[in-house]
Amino acid sequence: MNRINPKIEFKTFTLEDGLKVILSVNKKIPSVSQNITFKVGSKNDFKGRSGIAHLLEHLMFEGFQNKYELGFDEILESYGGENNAYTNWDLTGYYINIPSHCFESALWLDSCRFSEICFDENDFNIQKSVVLEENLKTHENVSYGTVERESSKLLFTDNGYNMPVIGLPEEIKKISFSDVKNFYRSFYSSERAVISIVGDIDYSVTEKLVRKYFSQIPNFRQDVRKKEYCFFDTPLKGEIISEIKSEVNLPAVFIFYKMPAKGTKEYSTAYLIKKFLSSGESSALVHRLQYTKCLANEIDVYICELEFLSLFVINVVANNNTDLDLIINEIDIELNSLKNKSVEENKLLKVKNKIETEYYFKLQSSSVIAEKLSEYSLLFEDCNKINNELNDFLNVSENDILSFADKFLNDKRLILKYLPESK
Amino acid sequence: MRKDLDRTKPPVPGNPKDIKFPEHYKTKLENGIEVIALEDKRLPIVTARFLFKTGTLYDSICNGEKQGLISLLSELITKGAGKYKATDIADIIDYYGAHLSTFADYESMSLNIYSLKKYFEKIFEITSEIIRYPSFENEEIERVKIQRINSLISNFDDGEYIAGRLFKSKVHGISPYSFNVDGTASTIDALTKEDFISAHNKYFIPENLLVVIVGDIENDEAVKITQKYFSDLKNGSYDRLNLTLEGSFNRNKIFIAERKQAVQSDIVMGHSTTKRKTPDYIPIVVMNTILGGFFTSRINKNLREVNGFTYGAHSYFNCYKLSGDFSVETSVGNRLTVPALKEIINEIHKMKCFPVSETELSNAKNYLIGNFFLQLETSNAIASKLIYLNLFELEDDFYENFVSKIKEVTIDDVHNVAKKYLHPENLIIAVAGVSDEIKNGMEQIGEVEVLNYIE
Repeated sequence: MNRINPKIEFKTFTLEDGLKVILSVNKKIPSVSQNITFKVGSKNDFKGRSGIAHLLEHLMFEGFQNKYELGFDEILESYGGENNAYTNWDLTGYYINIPSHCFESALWLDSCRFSEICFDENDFNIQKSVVLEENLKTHENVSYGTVERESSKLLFTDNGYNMPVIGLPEEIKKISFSDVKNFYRSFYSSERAVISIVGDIDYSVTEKLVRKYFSQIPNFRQDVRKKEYCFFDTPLKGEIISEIKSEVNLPAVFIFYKMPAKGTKEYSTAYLIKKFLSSGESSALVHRLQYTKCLANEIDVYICELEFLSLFVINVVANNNTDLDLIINEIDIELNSLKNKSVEENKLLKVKNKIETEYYFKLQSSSVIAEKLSEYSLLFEDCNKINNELNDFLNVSENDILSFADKFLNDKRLILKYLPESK
Repeated sequence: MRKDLDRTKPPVPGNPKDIKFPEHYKTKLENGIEVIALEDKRLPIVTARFLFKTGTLYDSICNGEKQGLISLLSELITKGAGKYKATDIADIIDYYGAHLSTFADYESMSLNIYSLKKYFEKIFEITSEIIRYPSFENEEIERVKIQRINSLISNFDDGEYIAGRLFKSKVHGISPYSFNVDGTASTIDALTKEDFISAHNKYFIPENLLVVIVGDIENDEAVKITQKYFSDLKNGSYDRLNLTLEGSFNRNKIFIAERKQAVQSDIVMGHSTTKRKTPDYIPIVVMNTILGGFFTSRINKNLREVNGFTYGAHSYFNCYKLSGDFSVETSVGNRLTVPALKEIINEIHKMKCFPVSETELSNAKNYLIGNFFLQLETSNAIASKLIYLNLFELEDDFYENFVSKIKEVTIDDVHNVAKKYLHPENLIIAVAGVSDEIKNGMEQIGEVEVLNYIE
């Protein structure tokens, strides 16, 4: 089948203080997406203070009014811009989408908050309450919301991945004002950062502006900046099963397997398997569990991407009164068939077609492109991966799938079961 | 380190670029089908929407006994058509890497497809089979019913869903806007094959259909392909729903849906309001933006940034074809429920009693204008806007004039619509939470009723 791969053109350079800069022109609409990502995440949380990286992300939006009359969001929204941020185990990313005629303001806004701390102790106390409410909203008060906490403590024992990103409430409460300031000074150095700017820009003008606003960011975080995270992990020795009684109406199961990190051949293979199992009504698990057997209400297969390894996760919410062991058994039938015989050629082609369509749809968005460029730069030091990743997926063979399933989708796994309390 | 950069003042923005809503082509086929086409050749992809202007409001024709009919019909319809079995359809859509989804709400139901340009006609063809000749096999009907009933069971795990449903059911009283789009376990269970066949015959007719095609396809191709596959769509007619909707509370009333395990209260509060077609719409949008429509709105600033009560709080004017509702939505810790309710009511009062400031007005207007352009990035987003225009029978140039209309709004306009459309004394307050821990002090706000709410 003939495939076309539109190339994302970009330009990169590094400022004297180590900040990496990526620019990409996309004149589709008169707007600009700016993404600044730091190579720091919850795995770097101070011991006993889980949630500090995420709380700091909240605080990066605070305190502007003390210095610049108006708050960060007020200034940005008054230009018609929008913004958000995310924290995961490895990275903290901040993005701004803004009409291009106000674009310089986005550079100004980010250079202000990343050159010095703007927030004060009052901002700190308020955001701590906001984060505790966020934890209730997204983890405690929703069905299966504790899965990250319950799984991470069983999957990892001896590294920073054994806590949920948002932290444990009792530890969040213990975080002090000076803890977050220390964390900022330890990790928010320009050497750990990349800025990607995608949209209605001009290379030479934008380069000058980036130099104007970011050449003067003090790199005073010298004491720790060379310290790289030292990762070690104990592989799972066999099957771990954990049952959680919970106030949910439908039972659910989450199955976790450890596998290699993003950027590897194995990761591309796993991505195809994920699609094969759960993307579309004809996919293996949806067809078997939802259509043929009517056992499942929701099916989701996803890869949790970490810097040093990934987690392959199968999640099924069962229909009312369905025995989860029956579901696990059906899942195993599908996984075993992946190990025992090659995936039929047309089924493999189907998955590749799906990936190709999705790839193009994602490229419609400048902010997606900016985020990908930042991530590839920080994790792989290779932005051009954005142009190669489709081929990485399309090059996966039947044999790759066979050997991946055999090597990684075996009985070294964690099974988390959510069981309705009343039943 | 150089010291010459002064960061104390933000840079001055340049002049906004002149941008227009993308040009599109509109026509009506002989049999009455409307087609809107928008060519966009930047990526080799095409999106199409098939919109039938009959929504779950029509579930009401039998006094609500058929709640969920249109929504379940939209799900069932892809499960077998003409020569294709359910599994064939799934296989073909997936094989070509395409996407097919269906959607139903109060005013409409739609089928949405997207695919690579090279497979578009194949996907279009199969969708036309689905629309014209759905099979409605018994086995498939049973299957979608079981799945829907389980989804409903799961939805009632969710405080936000419960509060939202409770609010809609109380605020819209006996009108079909109070119904659950998804249906209820008992109404779904009672639906028959005949229900689906008759709804399909009645509503899937040319004069009810709008086809929107956006992407790497020329306008006349888009029209031709619609002609080719839909010229034989059977004609028909049906009585349009005409509702006169009135009746509201004259004091605040609080309904608590008991949720013993809750560690937070999910709150949805507000009252009924105008339908979408009103000359006040643009000032309402500006007023609501200042009140609770964006991050730096008064309500979010108060509840999140000043008090730290919540992860977020927003207000909405949900204006439909025949009616509408105004709502404020948030989730707060149990002990914060009463203080949060008081702050929200206070903000609605303030908006009604006092004019907004010049800065607030210009910030909100700039936000709406800038954000409007950010929303024109994807073909899906543009298709949604074209559908919205057509469904609510708005002026053709609504989006062309959007920016200038926003610019015209004055402080007085905002105050006038606040006075007219905000009623802080007549609120329905729906809370999903644990009554024993949150009730204390609530009677100062309004009469409290605790319910065991499940539909």
